[in-house]
Amino acid sequence: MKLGLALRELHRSEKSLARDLRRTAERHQVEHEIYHVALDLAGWSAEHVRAVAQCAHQYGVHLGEDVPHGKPLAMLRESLSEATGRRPEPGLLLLADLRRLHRRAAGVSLDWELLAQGGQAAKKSALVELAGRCHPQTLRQLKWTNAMLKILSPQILTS
Amino acid sequence: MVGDYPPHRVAGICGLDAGAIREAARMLGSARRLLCTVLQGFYQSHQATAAAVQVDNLVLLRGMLGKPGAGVLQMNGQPTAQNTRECGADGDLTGFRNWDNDTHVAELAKLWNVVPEQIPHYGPPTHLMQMMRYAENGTMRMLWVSATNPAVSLPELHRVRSILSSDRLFLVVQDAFRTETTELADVVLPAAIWGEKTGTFTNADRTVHLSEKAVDPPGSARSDLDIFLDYARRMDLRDRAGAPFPSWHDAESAFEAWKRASVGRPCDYSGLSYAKLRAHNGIQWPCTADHPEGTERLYTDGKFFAQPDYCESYGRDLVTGAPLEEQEYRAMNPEGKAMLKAAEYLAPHETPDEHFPYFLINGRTIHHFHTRTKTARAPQLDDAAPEVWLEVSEQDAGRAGLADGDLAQVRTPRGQVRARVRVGGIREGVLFLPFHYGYWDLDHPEGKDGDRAANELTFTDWDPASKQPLFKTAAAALDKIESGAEPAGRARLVRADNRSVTEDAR
Repeated sequence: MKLGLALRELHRSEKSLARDLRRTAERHQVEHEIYHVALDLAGWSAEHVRAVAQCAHQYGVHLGEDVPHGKPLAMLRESLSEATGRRPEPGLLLLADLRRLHRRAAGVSLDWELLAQGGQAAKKSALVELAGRCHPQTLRQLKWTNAMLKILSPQILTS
Repeated sequence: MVGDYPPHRVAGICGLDAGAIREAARMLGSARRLLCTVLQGFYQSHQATAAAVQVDNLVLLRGMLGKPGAGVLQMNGQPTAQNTRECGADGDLTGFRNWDNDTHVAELAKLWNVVPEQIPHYGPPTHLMQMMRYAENGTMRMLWVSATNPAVSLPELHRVRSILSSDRLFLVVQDAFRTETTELADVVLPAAIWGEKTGTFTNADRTVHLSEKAVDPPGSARSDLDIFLDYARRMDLRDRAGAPFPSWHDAESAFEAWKRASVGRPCDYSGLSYAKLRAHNGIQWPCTADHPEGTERLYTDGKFFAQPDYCESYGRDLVTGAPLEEQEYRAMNPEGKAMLKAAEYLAPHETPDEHFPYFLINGRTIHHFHTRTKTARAPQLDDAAPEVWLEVSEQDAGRAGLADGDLAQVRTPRGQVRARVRVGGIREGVLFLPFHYGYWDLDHPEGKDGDRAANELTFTDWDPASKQPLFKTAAAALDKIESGAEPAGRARLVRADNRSVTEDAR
């Protein structure tokens, strides 16, 4: 059985998505919708990390439940965003960040798919239930990154 | 989703008693008639659209639509806001057309005789808060403000002023009166006001009224329509045939063009005319050849405007605001039924802490409209509510050593406002400021960077689905500045008795 491996991989990818959403929010603090929604969505991923860690425990896999905040760097990123808030150049950086977030979220979505498939085959209903609860939110994160890229790119690319 | 939120959990989130929530549910669930109305208090709160949609859900679940004593009125903040949504003046496509439906865009292009690429439809309409951001980062260099006053009405005024007064933004402001925003403009265009121009109004229950010009506008003021048409002609805008665009030239010809654009859409005006409205003013759309008297009730047959090929929008995720794609919507709602949508709870983006222990909300009072541009120029209304005030609960006033009439200062990380205190029935831990008050009628020592407008204190955030800015969550601190002239603790009616506060303020 390699379900422990699937849980470990999912934990890693959700954690890195949570961190990336937070960092993107901080880097683009002056883009208010990006800032607030990215932090809300980082909250979903942090919840998923906790749920995965709690579930993994039953399979003898010990994983951290928290996604620690990097306070000093966060403040630096936010100050940089403020300082460049009146310039158009960070727009391209935002598109790059959304593109990377989208790929990360796609990776997390695939990891949920794997866990749900493994859980079904091994008749582990707790895993299927966990995936059923969290995976829809991952898909919404995926759609959000795509939508923001679509909505913001015309202004950034033509100005 | 509802199963995840039993009354005891909701009670914790909302600060309510679980028993009271059950009682409210019982009342709504067993009412023989149910009419709901929603306004800015919902739309400008945290998770605004999600909350407003729950009201629709309740009404739908109870089947309380399309019959006497039942319905839902999602009201607009301004009397003309129903019109502007229908005709596309809010940036939506004319006649509730869907920007993501190529057939709808092609219809409009044909009506206007322009190529479809002339109608921006590569995304949802760019909303005002996003435009302000584009102006801030310098990628939008011209802004034309008509009949509104963002320098007082938008959140985080320090930021708004710095954007609007920036040298690289060319700002045109069109208004009937001098406002805080005209003071920042590069060009001010004096506009006629109702009574000085002709046009139609449509209210929240779809009733169309004709409002005719009674007097000439003063000085060089002209109607908004005349100003925009003059601009279009000077810009030499033309359609595919080379004819001047738009083709209409006055209010009635614009109404006739609008009627043609509305044919077959939910807001069908084709059976209306100025002559008919002169004879019988106040007719509810849809008004067509089949229903020449208009339509009193919608949804009497349980049919909705939700078919994938017909609907105004495919909807949005209520938390992320991401628009749904056409295929998603088709798969979810192929028959065009009414849908129930819900969203999980999220914590507000700013919550009280030890330094800023109160929730600050702003809102309205009955005597003033918007930013007092008109109402403060009516002596009776100005006398009734001449000065900003702060509502504080009895418990909080006691803790802060504040009595009725004392001068207090409310602070957030964005700024501070000074106001006389009214101790009243507001919820403990919540402070209220009316948002109407700006600076045009003050010889203010601090000039434009004052301490009177409630939006000095708000932070920039908007509902991701509706894009409406949020005014009902900000963490604030409260300090006493000086005692009032009157003895403390005198009982006083909140909002109804403005005169006694007037005397304090003077």
